[in-house]
Amino acid sequence: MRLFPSIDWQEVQNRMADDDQEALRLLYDHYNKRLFELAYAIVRSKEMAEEVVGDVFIQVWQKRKRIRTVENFAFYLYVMTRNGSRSYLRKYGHKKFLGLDDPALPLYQIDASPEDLMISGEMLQSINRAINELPSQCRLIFKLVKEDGLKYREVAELLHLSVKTVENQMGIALKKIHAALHVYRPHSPE
Amino acid sequence: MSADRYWILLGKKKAGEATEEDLEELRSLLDGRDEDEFARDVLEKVWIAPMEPVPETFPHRNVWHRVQKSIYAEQDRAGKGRLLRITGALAAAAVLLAVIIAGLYMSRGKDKPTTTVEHLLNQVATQTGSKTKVALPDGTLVWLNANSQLTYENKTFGIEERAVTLVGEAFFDVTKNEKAPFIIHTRDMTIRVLGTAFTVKAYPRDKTAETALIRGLVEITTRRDPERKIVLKPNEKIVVPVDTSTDEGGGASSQTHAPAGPYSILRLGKDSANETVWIRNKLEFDNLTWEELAPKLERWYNIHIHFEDERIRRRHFSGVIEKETLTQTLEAMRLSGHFVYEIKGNELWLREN
Repeated sequence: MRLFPSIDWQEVQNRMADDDQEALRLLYDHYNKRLFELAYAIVRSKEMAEEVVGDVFIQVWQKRKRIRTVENFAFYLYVMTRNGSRSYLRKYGHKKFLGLDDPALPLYQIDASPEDLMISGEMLQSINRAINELPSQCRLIFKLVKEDGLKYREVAELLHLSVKTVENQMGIALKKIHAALHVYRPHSPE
Repeated sequence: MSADRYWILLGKKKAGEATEEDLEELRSLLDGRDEDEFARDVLEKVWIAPMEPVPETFPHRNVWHRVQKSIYAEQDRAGKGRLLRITGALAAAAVLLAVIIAGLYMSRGKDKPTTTVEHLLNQVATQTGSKTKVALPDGTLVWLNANSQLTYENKTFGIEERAVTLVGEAFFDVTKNEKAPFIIHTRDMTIRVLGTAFTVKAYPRDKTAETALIRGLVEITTRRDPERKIVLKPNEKIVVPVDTSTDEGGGASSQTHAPAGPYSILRLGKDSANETVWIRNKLEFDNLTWEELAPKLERWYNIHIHFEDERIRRRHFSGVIEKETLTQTLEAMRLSGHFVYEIKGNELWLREN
């Protein structure tokens, strides 16, 4: 059973390669915020982050024929965004890369109803709270792996971390979320 | 540490990163442990449920508009697609970032449009009533309006930055090169291009200097307040009073003192094409249907077009319009397509012959 639909990105890549602008729009709707958050955490200026993200989509369109064969599209987009951000920072920010700006990273919530998950509203709140109480880098790693399907080595490369660090951070995230479930355990039916 | 090891291994399993050994180790850690099926089930659902940024953490503008414009520009450049190709470069310029700069007018006297190559300086200048288009060494295209001059240093251009000096009015379509920012110096403003492409246009003898941005990002410093960096956003125009107090003898502008207030930023209207209208002295169309061509002609001639039958919409035409009147254009088009037309005031009716 699939609870939530997922997008076939290879199909989107193919459609873009065939000049389908609707496919680019689909990509934009899905990734706009995601890429923005990474760009913003690096450049720390909303205007620049918007420029960076706009450039990414424009480049994707320009390179759409070649992009057809890109294997992990999400990783590809994030790397483009990271590189674009750093390049903007070097040229116009008049400062060096400072690492990710923690307060600039967004909070997340599970976008499903308690009914979807067959849990109580209280438990869902508890899960969301646990996600947002994760250290922001940990939260970002969790999101990149879980939500964007990035491989550990890709996350490591993107954020300049070791694969071991990614493994550990993922372990921490799961442990904390799991702990939140225990707080709101329902009474055992048996 | 085995508890933490358990979570690391579980993470790897969920992420599809676990090796056979990892899975084996995970099983052994679970051995003898009370498996919490409820928690495992919820965790599994959380894992496949979408996760979204909390809306309030993300107030940000929509950049789709800009992306879309770039696509249209590409179609125009390629000369195919549904859009009218005005001229490749012009179309690109019109939808890309447009910057209008009004610099201080400097008389060039009787010079014809010339390019003078000296030891260091490359200069392109135009006289009254003439316009010219030049390509800079980096591929940037510049349309220079009348009574204007553009200067750049031959040897240093493009090495660390691409600096040009403009007097008058110009429209730029700048080649992207993040390693060498494009900088335009005018008497009263310095414009640093942060985006990808732009155009520059300047009106001589004006009391104010202007930069209008249609797309992209530019950073402006004014002579009056060189420390302050003003970032101009798309569809904004900055108007800076010309500082006449230290006029190096331009003559013409010293009689009319501009208000000495600070700069102001204005929003451009819906039709930002007005900012670039001066370079539109030619309309080229290549294998367009009447349907596609109609809006262009409507703008070009300020008319409304009505189709009296449907078939005519699909007829294709190619051509170039420069100074032709509407009637001359229609007569020329009739040579390749069988249609009749009727003009009443600003209304044009078309039907198959």
